[in-house]
Amino acid sequence: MSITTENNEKMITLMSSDGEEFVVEEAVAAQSQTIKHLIEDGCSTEGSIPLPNVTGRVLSEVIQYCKKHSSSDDKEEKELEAWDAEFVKAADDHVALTDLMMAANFLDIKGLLDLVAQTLANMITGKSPEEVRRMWNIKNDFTPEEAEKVRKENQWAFE
Amino acid sequence: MKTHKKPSSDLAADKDKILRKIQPTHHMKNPTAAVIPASLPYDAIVSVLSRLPLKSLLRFRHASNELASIIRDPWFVNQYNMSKPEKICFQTLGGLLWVSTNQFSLGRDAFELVEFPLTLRGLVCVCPVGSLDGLICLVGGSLRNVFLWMPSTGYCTELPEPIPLRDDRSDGYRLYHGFGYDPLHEDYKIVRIAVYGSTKGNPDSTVQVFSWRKNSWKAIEDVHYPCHQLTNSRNNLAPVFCSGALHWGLQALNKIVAFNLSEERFFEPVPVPSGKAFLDVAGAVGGCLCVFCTDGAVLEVCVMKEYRAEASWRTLSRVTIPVGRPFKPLFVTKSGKFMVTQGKELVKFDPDEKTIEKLSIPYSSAHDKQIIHDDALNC
Repeated sequence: MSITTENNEKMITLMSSDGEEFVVEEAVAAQSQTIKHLIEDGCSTEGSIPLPNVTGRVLSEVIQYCKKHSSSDDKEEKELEAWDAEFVKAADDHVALTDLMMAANFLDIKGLLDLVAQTLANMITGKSPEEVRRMWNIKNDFTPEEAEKVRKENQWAFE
Repeated sequence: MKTHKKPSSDLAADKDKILRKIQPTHHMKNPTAAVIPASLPYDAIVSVLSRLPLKSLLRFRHASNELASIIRDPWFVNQYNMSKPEKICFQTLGGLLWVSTNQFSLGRDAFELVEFPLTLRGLVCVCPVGSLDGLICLVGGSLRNVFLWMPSTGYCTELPEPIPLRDDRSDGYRLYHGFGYDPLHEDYKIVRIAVYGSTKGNPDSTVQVFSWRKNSWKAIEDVHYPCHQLTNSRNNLAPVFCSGALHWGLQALNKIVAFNLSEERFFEPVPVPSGKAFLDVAGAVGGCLCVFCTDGAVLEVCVMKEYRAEASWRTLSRVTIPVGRPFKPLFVTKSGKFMVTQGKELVKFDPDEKTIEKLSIPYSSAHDKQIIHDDALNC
């Protein structure tokens, strides 16, 4: 759906996987390379853009981020950094950040991807292999022989 | 430890496997499902991993085959290593004084003193003899104790004692060490060369090699190389490891001598660039051996595009050295910056940006060892 506001801003509608609709300025949505390409390919004129990989809850966070970052210029870099820090702090837990990361990955928003990746990296830096398995839902698929080989060849991983 | 490079189809298959496993499993409609975190897409995992310190990555290789295969992927390893700046390390009494090559702007604060691990305290004359894959090889305690140390994890182990040197010579010996990797046998190796007697005439020498896999030293019987020529190398610098061999630059003889770690033998000469004044080996850029050459006030780094092929030498870049005190070239970094000492100053030339940055070295003497170290990941 293509709507134009009083300020002559072109608006587009994004639809989340759970059917929530978000009307946003095109300039805001176009921070997502995926959406930008969809718009360029003319997909936005046929009603709203469906985003089957992103839930409404996550999409509203993503839009919050895009709005902030489309209205800021370089002078406000410090303020923007502080805002980013608050933004990921609000997402808080690992699961919410993982969802945000997946959305940023699918929507191809580099700034958000970098921000969330760094936050996730900070969260797991000091973790043990067991904790990482749990956090990333990874199975320990080593046979005892393999585990022993990895331990021997990687002995300097542990103090 | 390095594994043989997998055929790319295998890697692609690995990625496919991972990607299939982590197709979006959107669970947020059902809040109880959120207890189990979703797995991340491959690209996202790589993006997170590339921001982790070396210690975490080495540990996470123990998490699963899947994660280990990503952390061993040659493409990932290369990307990761290129993003880690080298540190120039100066030997001091109790540790290493190091400075990251991208932190010159910090001035005095750029230097960091990293103490040796506890096992090394109390040993005399501990000096670093080489660094590779985040590991530093150290020799100390009357040169009989050899250690492998990984500063980023705190790991430190003493290796078995080397084969005793003959003590029937009253005129002493000089020792040359080198630390590198044998890609054929997937093994870290340390070379220890003793040159007995005076440098005149044709002095005797012995060579021994330590194998990390075998955890033992072995004497090399047929050396086929007059090792006393190594007395022409700059003893405060470690040999350059590149293409499975250790390289010493012998300026006075205008040549490079190499010790191949797989064949455990010397070969020489590795040709030096023709028509230039060769100074020393400089490092490896993009896996190719680099050397310093000079032409009066111009310092040049040449790169050997094809290993041991004389015709493949190319000029990588040139910088003009400011007049004044004589300079000593140290290293070229993997991103092509020149590191040089000039008196008590450490100087960095960036040939691309055409900038020069200087730091005064808080403590150093001409005999102290200097090595270049980084938190590089192995494959």
